[in-house]
Amino acid sequence: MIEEILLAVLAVMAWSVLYKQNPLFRVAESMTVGLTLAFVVYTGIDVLGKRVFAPWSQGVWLTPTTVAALLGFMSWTRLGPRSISWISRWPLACLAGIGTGLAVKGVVGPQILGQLTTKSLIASDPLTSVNNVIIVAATVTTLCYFTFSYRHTGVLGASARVGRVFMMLGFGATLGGFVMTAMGYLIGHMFVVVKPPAVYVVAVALAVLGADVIRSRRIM
Amino acid sequence: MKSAKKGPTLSMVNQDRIIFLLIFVTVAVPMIAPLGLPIPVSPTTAKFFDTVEDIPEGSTVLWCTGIGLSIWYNTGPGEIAALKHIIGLVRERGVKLIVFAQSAEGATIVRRILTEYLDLGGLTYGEDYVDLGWIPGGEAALAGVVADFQSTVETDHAGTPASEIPMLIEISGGDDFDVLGFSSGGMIDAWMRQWAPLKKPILLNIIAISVPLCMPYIDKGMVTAYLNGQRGGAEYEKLLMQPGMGTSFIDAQSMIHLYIVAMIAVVSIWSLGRRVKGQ
Repeated sequence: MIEEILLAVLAVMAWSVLYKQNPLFRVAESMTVGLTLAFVVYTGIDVLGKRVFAPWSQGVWLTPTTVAALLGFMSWTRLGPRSISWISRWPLACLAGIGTGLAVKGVVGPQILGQLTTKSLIASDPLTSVNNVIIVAATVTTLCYFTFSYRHTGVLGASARVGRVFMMLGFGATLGGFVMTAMGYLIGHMFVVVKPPAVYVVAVALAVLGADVIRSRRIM
Repeated sequence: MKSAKKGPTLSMVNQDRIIFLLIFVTVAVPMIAPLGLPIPVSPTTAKFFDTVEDIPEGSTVLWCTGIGLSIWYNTGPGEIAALKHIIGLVRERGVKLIVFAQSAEGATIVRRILTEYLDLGGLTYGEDYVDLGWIPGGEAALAGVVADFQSTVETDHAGTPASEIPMLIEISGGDDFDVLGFSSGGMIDAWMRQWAPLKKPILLNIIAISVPLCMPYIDKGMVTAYLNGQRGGAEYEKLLMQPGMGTSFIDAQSMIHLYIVAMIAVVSIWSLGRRVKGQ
C-alpha cells in the first residue's frame, strides 16, 4: 500500500511539470537522480563485498574479479596528488585495450561479414520478394538523396525525391516505436495510479490543479 | 484598415496543457474500464514462443537481463512471460535456467521477477535454476560468460561460490548453452558481437523504439525471434494463456496510438488549411 501511494505521489510530482514549472517537480527530479545514484552505489558496494572483500577475507587474493577491482581502485588515484595520479592511466589503458579487443573480435563476424551476405531477391514467399525489392529501392534512392556531388535533376532528382519519401516512412515507423515506448512509461504508471489507494493521491492533485487554475484566472 | 475578426484563441501553453490532459484521459479510461480489444499475435512473437516451446529436454538456457527500472513497464511484461514459459519447461522437461543481469538495476529486476512473478514451487535453486545477480563488466562480462564461464562467474547473487552450485559445475562456456536470451533497452550490438558467433538460437526482448536498430541482426537470422516491447509482452501472454501486465496495458496502448494518429491528422489538415489561405 505504501509503495503504491509513494509511486503515485512521485508520479504526480513528476507530471506536474506538464502544467507548469514548480518546486514539487524539481524535488521529484532531484530525488530520481539521488535515489538512482544511491541505489547504484549500494549495489556496487554489495557486489564488491561478495565478490572481492569476501574472497580476500578467506585468503583468496587473486581472482579475475579482484584484479578488476584493483584496477578500479587504481583509477581513484586521479583524485589524489599529482605524484600518484599517473597510476590512474593504467586502468584506463586496460579498459581501452580490452574494450577494443573485445569489440574487434566480435565486429568482423556479426557486424561486417554477417551483414554482407546476400540472398536472392526472389524468395519463396512473394511478399518477401516484394519486401526485398523495396529494401533495395529504398537504399539506392536514399543514397541518391545524399549525393551532393551532382545537381538533383533528371533521374537523380527523381530518385532523391523517392528516397525522401522512403526516409519519411522510416521516420514515421521510428516515431511509432517512440510513441509506443514513451507511452509505455505513462501506461505503466497509470496502471497503478488509477486504482486505490493511489487514485486518492491523484484526486487531491487534480483538486490542487483546479484550484490553481481558478486562482490564476482571478489574478488575470 | 479593418482587422479580421478573431475568435477566442488559446495560448501555446494552454494548447499543450489540453493535449497532455487528453493523453491522460485517453490512457486512464481503458485502464478503468477495459475495452477488451483483440490482441493479434505477430509472427515474430509466435516464433519466439515456438523457439522456447521447442527447447529440448535437459537443455540449458542462459538469460541476461539488460534493462533498467525506467523501462520496466515496457519490457517487463515480455520478460515475465518469457521466463514464466521457460520455468514451465524447467518443471516439465528438466531444462536448466541461468539468469544474470548486466546492471545493478537489472539484478533487482531479476530478483523481483523470480520472487514475485514466477511460481518456483517444486524447483530446487542451484539444480534447476540459478540467479547470478549482476555480473559487472558490460560487454566483457557478456564475452566472459560464453568464453570462460568459470572464471567470469565466481559467485551467484547471494555470494555462494559457483563451485558449490551443482548446475554450474559442468558449465565451461558458450557450447554448454542451448538457447541464449536477453532483454535490452537500447542497442544490442554488444550481445551480437559476443553471442552471435556461437550460432545458437538467440531470443530478444526489446523496447519498441529499438526494434528498427535491431533489424540488421534480425533480418540476417542472428536474432532468432524478438518481443516488441509492451505489445510483444501482451501477445506472449495471450499465447501462454496467462493474461498479465501486458494484457492490461494493450487497450491503453491502442487508444493512445489512435489519439496520436488523430492529432497528426488534425494538425496536418490545419496546417494545410493555413497554407491554402496563404498564411
